[in-house]
Amino acid sequence: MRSKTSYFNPTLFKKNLARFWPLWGGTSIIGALFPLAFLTILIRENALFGEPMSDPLGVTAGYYQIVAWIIPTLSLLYAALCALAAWGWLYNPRSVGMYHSLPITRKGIFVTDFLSGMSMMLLPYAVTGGLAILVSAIVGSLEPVGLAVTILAVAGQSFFFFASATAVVFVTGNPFAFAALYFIFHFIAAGAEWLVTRLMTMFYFGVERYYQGVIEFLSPTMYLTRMLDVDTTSRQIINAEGWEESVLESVTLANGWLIAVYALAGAVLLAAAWALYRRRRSESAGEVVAVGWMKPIFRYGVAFCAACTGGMALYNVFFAGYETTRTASPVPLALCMAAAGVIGYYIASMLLSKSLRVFRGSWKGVLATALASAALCAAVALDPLSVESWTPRPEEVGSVLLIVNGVNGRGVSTRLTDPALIQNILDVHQAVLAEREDLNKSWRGLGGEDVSVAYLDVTYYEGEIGSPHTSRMYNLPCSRERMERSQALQKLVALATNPAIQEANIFGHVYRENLETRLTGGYADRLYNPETKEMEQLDLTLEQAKALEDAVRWDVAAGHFGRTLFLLDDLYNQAICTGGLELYYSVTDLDRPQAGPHSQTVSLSLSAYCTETLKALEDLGIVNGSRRLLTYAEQSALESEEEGVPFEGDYDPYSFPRSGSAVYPGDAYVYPGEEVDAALLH
Amino acid sequence: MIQVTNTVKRFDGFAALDGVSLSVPAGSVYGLVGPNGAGKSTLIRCLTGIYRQDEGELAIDGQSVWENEALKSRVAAIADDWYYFPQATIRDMCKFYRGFYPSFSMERYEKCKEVFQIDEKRPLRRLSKGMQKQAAFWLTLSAMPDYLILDEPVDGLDPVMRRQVWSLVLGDVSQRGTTVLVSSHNLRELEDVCDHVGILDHGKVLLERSLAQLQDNMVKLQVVFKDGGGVPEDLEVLHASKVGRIHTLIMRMNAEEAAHRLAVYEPMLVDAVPLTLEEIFIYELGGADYAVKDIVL
Repeated sequence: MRSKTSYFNPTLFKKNLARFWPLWGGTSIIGALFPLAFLTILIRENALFGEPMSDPLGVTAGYYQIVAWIIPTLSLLYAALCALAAWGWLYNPRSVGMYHSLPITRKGIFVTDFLSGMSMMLLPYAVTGGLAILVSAIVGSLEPVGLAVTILAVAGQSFFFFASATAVVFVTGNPFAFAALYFIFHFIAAGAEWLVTRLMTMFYFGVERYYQGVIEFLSPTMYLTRMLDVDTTSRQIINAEGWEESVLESVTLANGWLIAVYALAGAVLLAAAWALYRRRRSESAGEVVAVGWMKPIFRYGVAFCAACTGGMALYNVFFAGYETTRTASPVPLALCMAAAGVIGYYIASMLLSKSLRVFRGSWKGVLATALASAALCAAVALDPLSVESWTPRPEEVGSVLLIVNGVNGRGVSTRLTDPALIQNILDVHQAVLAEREDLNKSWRGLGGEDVSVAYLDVTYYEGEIGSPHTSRMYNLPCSRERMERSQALQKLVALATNPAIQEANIFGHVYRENLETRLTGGYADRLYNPETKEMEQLDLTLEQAKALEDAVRWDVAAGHFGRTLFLLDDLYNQAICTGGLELYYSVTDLDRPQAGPHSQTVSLSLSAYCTETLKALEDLGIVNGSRRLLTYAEQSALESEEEGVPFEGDYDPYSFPRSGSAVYPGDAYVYPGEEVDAALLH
Repeated sequence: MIQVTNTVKRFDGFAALDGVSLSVPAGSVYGLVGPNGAGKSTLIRCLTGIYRQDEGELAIDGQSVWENEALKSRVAAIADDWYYFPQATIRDMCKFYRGFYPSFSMERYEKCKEVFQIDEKRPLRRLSKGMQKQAAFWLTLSAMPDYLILDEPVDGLDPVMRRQVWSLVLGDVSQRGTTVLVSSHNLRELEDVCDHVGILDHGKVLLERSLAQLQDNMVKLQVVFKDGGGVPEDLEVLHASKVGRIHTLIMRMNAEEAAHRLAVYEPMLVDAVPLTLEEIFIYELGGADYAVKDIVL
C-alpha cells in the first residue's frame, strides 16, 4: 500500500531559498540600484512632481531594449548560478544520499527544486522591475501594454534559460563539468558551424569569413540577441513652442514571438530533465557525464572539436610556413587533425573514466577518430559545395559592401546597390578567381618577388545591408609587372577609381536616400606656412566649403579620386598630399526623425590628381604662397633642408605642378588599368 | 520486517550486491557484518531508497522502498558519511527534518539535548567528527522512526558515548518496537547489541543466524583426559588446542550432547566455557575465509 505522494515540499523550498539568499538577494540589490539611480536623477532634476519625465512609449522602448539586448546574456549567466544553487546537491554523493533517503519522491524533489531555482531567477527581476514600475508610475510614464510584454518576455527568457540549465544539470555529476557543458550546450551549434567554416577558410581561396549562422537558432543567447529588436514608429508634430517635434506612435518588440518559442522549447527541455532525473543513478555524482548514452557523444564531440581547433593550430605551427599558397594543403592538415582528434579522444576518455589509464583496448575508438578527422578534412578540401569558385548571379544580389585597400594603405569602403556597379564587382571577382593559381601564392610561393599586397573584400547581400550575406576576401600581390599582365588587378584598379564608387565612398554616408543633408562648413588641414615652418589649419566659410565640395565632385566624376590607391614606389610620395579637407554636414535620418539632426564629416585626402579641387583651393585663396599644400615628397625635402641634409630622392620634389598643368605622375608612369578604367568610364 | 530477496546491484558491470537475501525480523537488532567492500553500504543505500536495485526485491513491511514516500517517513538512516548543509546548525537541521518526518518529536529532541550536550546553535561543520555523529543520532532518533538503519554508526564516538547511544537505540527497540539494521565491519562492536547477525562478503550473504541459533549449535569445552591422553581420533571436533594437560575443544553441537559424547572416554574434567561471537563465526565458516578473519581482527 502506498500513501499519498506530495509534489511540493515547502520545507525544502524554504531551505533552498534560505540557503542561497546571498545569490538572489545580492542580485536583487544590484538590480534595484538601477531604478533607484533613475529615481535619484529625477529628484535631482526636480522632475518628480512635474510633467511626465519621459514619454511612456519611450520608457517602453527602454524596457524592450533591455529585454532584447541585456536579458538573454544576463539570464544565461544567472540561470547557471541558480541551477547550481538549486541542484548542486546532485554533485556530492553525501548530499545525494541525504536527499534521496528523505521521505520525498524524486518527483517531489524535482518540482520543489525547480520552483526554488525559478524563484531565485525571478526574484531579482521582480524587485528590479517592481521598483522600475514604481518609479515610472511616479513620473507618469507607465504604459501597461509595454509593461505586460516586458514581464512576459523576461519571464519567458528566464524560464527557458533555467529550464536549459536544469536539463544540463542532469547530464553531468560535477559542478565544473556542468559549467562547461552548460555553455557548450548554449554555443555548440554556433561553435560547430564556426569550426567547420573555419576549416573551409583554410582551404578555400578568398573564403575568410564563411560563418552564416545557419543553425544559430540552436544557440539561443546569440540568436535572441541578434534577432530581438525594438521597432518604433513616430510622427512629426508642432509643439507648444512652435517647433517641429517627433512623437513616438508605437513601440513593438521585434521578433518577440521567438521568446514564446524558446519558452516552449524550455518546457521540452524541462521534460527531458525530468526524464533524465528519473533514470539518473545516484551513484553518478562526481561523474563528468552522468548519462550513459551521452558518453560516446561527449567522447567523439570532444574529439571533433579537438580535431578542428587543435588540428588547425598544429598545422599553423608546423606546416603553414612551408606552404607555397595562402590556402592549406590537405594532407598535412589531415594528419594534424587526426593527431589532434586522437588527443581529444583520449582527453575525453580520461575525463569520463576519471583515470589516466585509458589506452588499453581503445584502438578502435582511436582509429575511428583519426579516420573521421582525416575524412572530414578531405571532405572539406574537396569543396563539394563549390564554395571557393562561387560567385552570385547578379539577380541574387541586392546590395554589396565593397572594401578595396590599395597597396599603400589607402582604400575604398562603400555600400552599393546599383546593378551596373554590382556587375563590375562580379567581373572583378570572377577575374580574381580565374587567376587563382597566380594570386593565391604565399610569400614562400612568390619566391622573393617584390610585391605589395592589395586587399579586396566584397560582401554580397540578398537584400539591403543587414540581410543574409556572403563574403569573400582576397589578398592580392601587386607589382608593376603583375599589374601590367593581370586582368584581375587591372579590373580591380578600374573598380576602385570608378567615379560612382568613389562618389559612394566619399559622400555615401551623407548623401543617400532618406537622409536630409546640409553642408555646414569645414576646414583645410596641414597647410604649410613657409614663414613659421609650421603646419596650419584653416576654417572654411560655408561658401568656400560649397565651392570645394563642387570641385571635389567634379574630380570624382572625372575619376581623379582613387588613382593613388595603386601607385607604387616614390610616385605615391610625389602624388599624395600631406594635407586634406574636412567637410562638415548636418544630417537627419528621415526614418528616425525623432533622433534629430546629427553631425557627419567627410574627410578627403588630396592628391595631385585632384586637379579641380587643387585649383579651387588656389582660386579661393586657401592655398597660396604662405599656405602651401605639400606632397609627402615635398615635405621630406623640406625636412631634409631644415636638418641640413641634402634631399636624396631620385626626383625633384618641387617639379610637381600644383594645378592647371597637364603633367602628372601618371604620365611618367603607365597607370595600371588605364585602358580598363577608360573603358568603364566611357 | 525488512525483507531483502535476491537483490543485485551493479556498478559499471561490477556486482556490489550479487543476489543478497536476508530477513530482519520486526523489533530486532540486526547486525550486518562484512569486510570493507562487502556491499554493506550499498545494501543500506538500496534499503533507504538512494540506490535502485538492478534485480531482486527490497521490502519493508511488505512494501517496496523505492519512491515510497509514506514508507520512507517511517524509516530513518544514519549514513557513515552523514550529510548536513554546510552552514547549518543542529537546530537548522532539526527544522529541516521536521518538515519531512511527520513523527518528528520536539519532546524527544529536547530530551536528547540533555544526553548529547552539544550547543545546538553551533554550526555543524565546526563540530568534531564524533560530535557530528552524536548530532546525527540526536536528529535521527528525534524523527521517531519505526525502522532505524545505521551504517557504521559509532565510528568516532568515545566508549562512553557509544554506550549512551546504544542505550537510546535499545530503549527505542524495547519501548517502541523499533527495528534496527546496523552495519559494521567489526563483529566485536555488535556483539553486545545484536540479536540477529548476517555476514556479507563479495555482495553475498555468507551466513544469517539469530544469536540463540548460533549459541545452541556450537560448544567450547575444556577437557582433561585420563593419563594425559590426546583427543580421541573418532571424536568429531571443529578445532582442538592443548595447554598443559587441558584440551580446548570446539564442537558443532550443544553442550549437553557434547558432554554425553565425551562421557565414553571417561575424562577427568569437562567444563563448558562461553564462545564469543567471533569464535562462533570463525568455526562456523571454517575460519579460513578472509571475510571472517577481517571482521574479528
